[in-house]
Amino acid sequence: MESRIPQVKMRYGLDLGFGVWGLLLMAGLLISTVSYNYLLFHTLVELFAVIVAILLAVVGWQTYPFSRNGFLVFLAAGYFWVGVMDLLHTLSYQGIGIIEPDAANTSTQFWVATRYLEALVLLVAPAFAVNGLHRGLAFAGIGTFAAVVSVLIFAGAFPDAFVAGQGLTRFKVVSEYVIIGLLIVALWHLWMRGGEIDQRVVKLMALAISVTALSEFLFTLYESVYGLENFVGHVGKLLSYWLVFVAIVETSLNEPFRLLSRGATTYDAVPDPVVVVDQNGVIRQSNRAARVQVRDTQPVGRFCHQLLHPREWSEEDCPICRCIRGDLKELMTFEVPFKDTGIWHSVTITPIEQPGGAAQAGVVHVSHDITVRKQAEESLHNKNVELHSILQSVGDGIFGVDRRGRTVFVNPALERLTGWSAEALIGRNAHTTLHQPPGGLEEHPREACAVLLTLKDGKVRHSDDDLFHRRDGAAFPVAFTSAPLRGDDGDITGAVVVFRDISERKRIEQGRERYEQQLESMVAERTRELQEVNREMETFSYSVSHDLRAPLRAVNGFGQALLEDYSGQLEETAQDYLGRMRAASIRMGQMIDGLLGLSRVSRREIHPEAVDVSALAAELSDLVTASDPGRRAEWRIQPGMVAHADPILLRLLLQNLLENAWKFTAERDPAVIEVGCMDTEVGAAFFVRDNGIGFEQEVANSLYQPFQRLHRGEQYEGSGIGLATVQRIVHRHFGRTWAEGQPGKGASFFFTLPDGSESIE
Amino acid sequence: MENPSILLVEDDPNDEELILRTLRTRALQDKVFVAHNGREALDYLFGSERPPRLILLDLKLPKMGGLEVLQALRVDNRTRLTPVVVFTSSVEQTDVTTSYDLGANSYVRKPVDYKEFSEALKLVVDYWLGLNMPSPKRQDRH
Repeated sequence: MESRIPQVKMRYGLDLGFGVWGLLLMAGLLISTVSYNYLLFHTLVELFAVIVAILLAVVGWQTYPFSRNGFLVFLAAGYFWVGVMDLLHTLSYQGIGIIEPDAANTSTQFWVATRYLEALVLLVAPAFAVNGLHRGLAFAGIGTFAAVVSVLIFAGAFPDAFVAGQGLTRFKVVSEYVIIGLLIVALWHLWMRGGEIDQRVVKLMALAISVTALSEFLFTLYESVYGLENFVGHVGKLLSYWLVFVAIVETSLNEPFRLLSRGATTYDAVPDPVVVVDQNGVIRQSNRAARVQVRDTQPVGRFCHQLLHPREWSEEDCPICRCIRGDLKELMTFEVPFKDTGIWHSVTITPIEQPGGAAQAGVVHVSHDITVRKQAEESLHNKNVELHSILQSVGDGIFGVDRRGRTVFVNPALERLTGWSAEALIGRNAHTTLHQPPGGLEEHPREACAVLLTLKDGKVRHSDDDLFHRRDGAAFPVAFTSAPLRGDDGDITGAVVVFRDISERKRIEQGRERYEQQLESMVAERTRELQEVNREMETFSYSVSHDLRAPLRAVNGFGQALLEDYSGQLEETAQDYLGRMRAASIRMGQMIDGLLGLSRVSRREIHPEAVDVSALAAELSDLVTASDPGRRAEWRIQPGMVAHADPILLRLLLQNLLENAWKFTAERDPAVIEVGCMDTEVGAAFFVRDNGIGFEQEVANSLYQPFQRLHRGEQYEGSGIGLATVQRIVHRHFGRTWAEGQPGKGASFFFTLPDGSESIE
Repeated sequence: MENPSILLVEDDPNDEELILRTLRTRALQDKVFVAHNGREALDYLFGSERPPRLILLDLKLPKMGGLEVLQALRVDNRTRLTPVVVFTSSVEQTDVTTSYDLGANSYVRKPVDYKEFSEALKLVVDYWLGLNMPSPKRQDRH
């Protein structure tokens, strides 16, 4: 036990050392008085003990609000009264002369009573280590006890402790042993409660109790109040009081100060700048981080606004400073931007409470750098703004559902398309609201709903043929996509649906279908009309061939008959006239035949195929030459020419051109007729060129008109329909015809036909 | 015994006269019976004891067309084998094809030029009456 004290001394050497050394010095002083005057010694030593008792009572009492240590405050209350009774003991001591006649007995009675009180206090005190107590009640209780005992003593009702001539009474001696016993129990009690009391205090108290017990033992031995035992016992008592005093001071003063200084270290270890600011905004304390923050070794005494708040804020307007100056009741937090550095601080100011609720003494001002958080917040905010504006501006309706299919968000396009407001729709089941409302037009069973299926299996689905319902119940066709929303762990948390009103598209599609049907029926109608026209044309052609040619034949035939049967009766002129009539009728017959041929060309169905134009031209040139074998002719036919055309019409075309060339080269010897193919502005063109009589270029276009004859019929026989037929055939093959000529030098007739790569009709 | 007969089915009196004029030049012994429409032609054919040696048939006829007459007489045993020369103004290819399909023996187009007309008529009549063989080249002309 004693080994602990030097440790205490070593750790707090100055304070306790001074006390110990002071005690020893005082003890020495007292000892020196013993040899001189024992009464003086006793009076002094008891007074010192009273002073220590009162001191420890005051310290223990006053620090109770902070220590809340019931054990110590009970000791304090107890020792106060112990001190008071010790004072009575001292004052009634033999030789002082205040209390007569039986001073020795009274004094000893007070002694015994005081020792009882002290022992009881020491015995009971540990019980309040954790239980706490009402200190006033304890003080009053112990005081009452002391007062009652004192009254009993003064009234002579207290057992005698000292009888003159006999010395100490049996009561006194037994009491000392009882007190020693009480102290031993107190020691045991303290020991039992040791876990509830600070170990250092336990040891000091154990020491104090032991010293008291030892002193008591000495007091059982003395025979004279001036004996050695008495002297040592008093010193021991003083020592025990001192030890209790030390225990209380240790717990109530030293330890809190130690905690305070430890707190200061903690304070420096906090990485955030922490300052204590008084009501005027002046820094009163700062931690290390604060000093680093303001690059100032000693910010204490400076205005916190200048050091810790944004420069662009004036102190008057600074919300933090206004709170500091005002009557701040609650903790407040400000998020403070520093524009020049881009740094954000969170500043928390906490009012410092004064014990007893006195006016605010200032605030604790903690700055915490939240720049990273702010940046993250800002980027998140920007992203959100971006997403939001996309959601807001997109033309398609968008809504989200949670895992149970309830609508969690919608965009304005949806509101516009469905007539549902966001407030009304959010929280409702999307399927039974938009997709399949009660009384909806079409059946959308839950099992087939693409959105619900997406919620189930997480697959993206598209639907092009579905109906959504407006709030008023009207349905409209939609195309939509439903995609799953997944949480961080990949679980499906909902789905987002993007849809488009396709009413317009459907209308257009339906319109197109109607139009196509109309077109088809129109085509069928036209085809019928065309077939009708064709039939009429056939009938017409038949009539023409039959009915127009029959009268001509009659004219010709009877004219011939007249010439044959009555030539003797007719003058030469009459016969000539008859001959002219016959020729004219033949001419007209030929024209009718030409017209019929032309109409056949127009009506004929075209079956294009690859045709060897060179071979065809060669074959036709033979036929043409054979019609007048007497003529000399030179045919120049380019080999290897191929066309993609109806073979029968192409034959008719070439035949007409070759016969035409043959006819107008009748006076040439030899006639030169060329058939070839050349590149022109409009592509490859076939041509038939002759060295015949030619024509004026101005009339080139009119050549293709039916019955357009440039030369007198008598000179060049022909139907007048040949080139018209050529043009008709070429047009029916989507080609072009043109002619070049020079009077007396010949003519060239060009035509184009699609090559094999183009299809006709 | 009556002279063998030729049936001419022709509604146009001019053509009838011109055809008869040409036939006269052949100095045939046959009696020529002229029907002016299809009905008359069939009445004659099915009313006479003996079918004619030759039938000259125009196609465009009132009451009953030449093709109908042809069809009808080809299914009757009495006239099934009688040579029929379709001698007509029509140049429609379908008429030519149909005529041959229905059993016409010749198809001759009536030209406007009377010389050609009589020449062609002479050729087919001579041929089918077995008077002389026509040259193959001339037969192609229709």
